[in-house]
Amino acid sequence: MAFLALEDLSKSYDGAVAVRALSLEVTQGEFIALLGPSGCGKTTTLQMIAGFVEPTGGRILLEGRDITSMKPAQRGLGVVFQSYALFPHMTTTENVSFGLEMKGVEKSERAKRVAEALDLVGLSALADRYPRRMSGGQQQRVALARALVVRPRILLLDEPLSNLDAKLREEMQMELRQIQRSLGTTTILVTHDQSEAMALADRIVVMNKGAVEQIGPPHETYEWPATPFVADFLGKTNLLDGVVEDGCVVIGGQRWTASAVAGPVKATLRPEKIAFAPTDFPGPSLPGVLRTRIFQGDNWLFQIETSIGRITVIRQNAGEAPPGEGDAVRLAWSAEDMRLRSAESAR
Amino acid sequence: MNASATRMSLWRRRAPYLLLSPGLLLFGAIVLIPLLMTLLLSFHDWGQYKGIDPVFILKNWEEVFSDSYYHEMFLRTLRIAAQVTILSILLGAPEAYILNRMRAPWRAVFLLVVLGPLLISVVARTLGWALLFGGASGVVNKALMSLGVIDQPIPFMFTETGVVIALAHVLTPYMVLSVWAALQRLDPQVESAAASLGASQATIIRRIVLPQIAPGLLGGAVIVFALAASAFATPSIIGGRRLKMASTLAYDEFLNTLNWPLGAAIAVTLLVVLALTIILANRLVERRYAEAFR
Repeated sequence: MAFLALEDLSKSYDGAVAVRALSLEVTQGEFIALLGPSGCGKTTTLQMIAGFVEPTGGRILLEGRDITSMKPAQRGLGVVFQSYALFPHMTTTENVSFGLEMKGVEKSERAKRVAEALDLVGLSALADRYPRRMSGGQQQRVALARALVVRPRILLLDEPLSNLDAKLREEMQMELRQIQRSLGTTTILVTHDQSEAMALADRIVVMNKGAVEQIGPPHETYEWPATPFVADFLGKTNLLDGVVEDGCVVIGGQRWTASAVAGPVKATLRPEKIAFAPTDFPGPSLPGVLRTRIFQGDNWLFQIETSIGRITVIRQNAGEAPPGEGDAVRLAWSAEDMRLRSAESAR
Repeated sequence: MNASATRMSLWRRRAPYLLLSPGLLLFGAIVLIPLLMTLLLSFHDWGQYKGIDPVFILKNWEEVFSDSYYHEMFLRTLRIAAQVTILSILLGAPEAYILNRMRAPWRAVFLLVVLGPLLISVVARTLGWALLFGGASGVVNKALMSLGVIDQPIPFMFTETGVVIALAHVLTPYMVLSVWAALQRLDPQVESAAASLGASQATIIRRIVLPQIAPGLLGGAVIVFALAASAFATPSIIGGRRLKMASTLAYDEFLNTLNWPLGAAIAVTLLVVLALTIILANRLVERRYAEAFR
């Protein structure tokens, strides 16, 4: 039996649908990321799990018990908010201790557990500091400690890292993952950042316009996007027009072997899967002219003008000189890196 | 350094004072000088036939400090002001909280309802109370008596309760505005955070909301207390001659008895007592809720 089950969960505001019949089963200890652009319903879903928003349809089951209309205070979940939502008039210790106080935990036990939680997030030195005198990253840690100290059945994270700068965000991602693994707390993260979702989660739920597009492990979702939306939202992607005939897909006059139903298709192809072919390359390769070249440190990003439109290519910066802007190049990739969809089903 | 540079730096140093001077002059002319003149006036002598005699005596101050009539009157003034303040907190703070949680069209409507009384003259509002409860001919009293609910008119006019109720009605909007401004600075997610940690609505208000709006409550309380203690129109209509407060007494001394020096002593005492009370309250609340004031 699933630890947490969402069954056809729906929410609409005055006719506008925010979440449409969302179903999801989460096993204990799992780290789930709800990923999607803003307005896709991911935060509304989280708020329904937390109990701040009442669903207009469907059920939420926690350990088999229906908690759909239970008050937030009775659900025993830990929530970390985007704004951190710390109590500004309380010190770090008082903030973290609040949840235990509400549970009626005895004072000496409370002190012990608060100290443990602060130790876990590395904030023991700032126990008597007020939130306004701490940096964003430190406040973030207090919020995490406050949510974890009550030993929540589920930890809900609402865009917890979006207010931090890039470097700190990466640090906190590592830490968050470590803490979650060591405590084994079932966690649901809401984020619009695909790299964050892929870095942290065991499974990603990609959402768009209130509906689920795909649920799966990060690697699988990235490699096998179920819909063009997922392909486009998770990382960069090239969408190529082709035609399947005689066990081959024809793109720009070149033929790659393919086992698909004959007819027009759309092929999605990740930019990092494309290579520049040497002049004596035996396989199929697409000619084009390099239009822009952007250096990104670890990678080179190219835009190549071809007979079938612009194609984005990402090559690792391995030290050798890349082709320059205006150069004629040939692009090559292997047939199995393409995902083919018949043109109608791809919309 | 040459001469023009010296002049330049001199100008730099003096500029702030020069720029401030119009404001300072106005403040001095309309606040400080009249205040000093009132203070001086309180040391002058006065007689029924000789009028104001510009000498330096302590007669008025001795009278104010020794006569139990004045003690009672000042105590009553402070008591009424304190009761009005408490009443305005009890009514105004929840009102502001509810107002703050209302949805878009209703919030504006009810804000207007709350602030509406401020658009009507204090005299008109207070006379309204007199029309409702003024003796046997008051509308409410008449109705209740004809229904047999009461057989005596509810005592309202010339009572302390009446003055407190009428003043609270007049002054509560200030409390609502002050608390509302404080509530708007609150992050709504903070209340959700407390709820998710297991706090009941009552606990959230007591432990999370109240401490954060302490500055707003204090600000509102200071305004309401000062306005109540120095109110004139309401006490003079509801309290009349029988139930005097500091400002109605000072008014009578100035305009009826024509004993300006005694009136001045009363007015200065009221000012000092008010200032001390407000400073003390400020200190207490600021210390108690230190972090909320940052």
